[in-house]
Amino acid sequence: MYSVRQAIKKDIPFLIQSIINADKSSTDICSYCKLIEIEELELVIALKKIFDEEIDGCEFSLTAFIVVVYSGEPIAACASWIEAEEGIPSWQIKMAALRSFVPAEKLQNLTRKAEVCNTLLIKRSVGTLQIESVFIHPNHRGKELLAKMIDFHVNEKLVKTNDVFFLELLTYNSNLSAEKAYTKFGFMKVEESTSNHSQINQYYPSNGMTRWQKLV
Amino acid sequence: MEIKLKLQAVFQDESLILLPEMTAKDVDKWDSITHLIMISEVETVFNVTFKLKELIKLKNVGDLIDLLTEKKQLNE
Repeated sequence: MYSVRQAIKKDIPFLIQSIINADKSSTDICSYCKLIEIEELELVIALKKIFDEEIDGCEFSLTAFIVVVYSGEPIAACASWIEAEEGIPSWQIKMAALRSFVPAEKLQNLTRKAEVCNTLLIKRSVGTLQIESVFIHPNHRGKELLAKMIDFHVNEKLVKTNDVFFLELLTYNSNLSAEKAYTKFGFMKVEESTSNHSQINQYYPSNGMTRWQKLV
Repeated sequence: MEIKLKLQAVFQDESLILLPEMTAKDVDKWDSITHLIMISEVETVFNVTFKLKELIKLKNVGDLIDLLTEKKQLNE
């Protein structure tokens, strides 16, 4: 029997793994690790410290996450937040968080790759309910857990506002299973990017991204 | 004034007129990585250190200038 609940502190290791798995998008390439040039363990430690700070407004946040529990264990996770609800975009919050817990000399590796990143990245729309870092354990796929998690987020996050009209998410173009799942769930492609930069595949799981939206 | 010159250098645009109410939406080159560079440059040049809780409240250029002024006063 599956149940959905708000994430709690003891879920943090699972949430961190969900963030990393979602970023890898069924490949071996973690963009955070490749861009910053850190090992996955270093990223895990940095994310743990960020979660402990209890920030809001991006996926590096306990309050953003819900989990699906099966036999007492989390087997799926999904983050959501209203983009720039307090006037500050999620990318700004994430950068501030990484800057606080990743050594400065490592972050210089990231700043040197700005040219590559900017050929691929797509900006999120202010005021939309963002869906991010979706991860479902392979043994539990095909059980409509994505729909359960998104419905839970919509019911929880939008109960206090009438000003959010769209759900929005970003995927890498190589993630065909995600594309199939989001299309089935009623999401429409609203923007695509394709990078022709020669180094893009060294740092990202795909050379393209898609921004999807669905009317609430 | 010094901070405005420093930000113009970060955004590689000497003609950029920075106003307190300006946000990343108003400046073409103000993206996630430029933001990172900007914060690091300001910290280095003005010898201050920003905390995460302070950085995630910065809505615009004016907030950054106010925070920097507060930090410098504390250092004096």
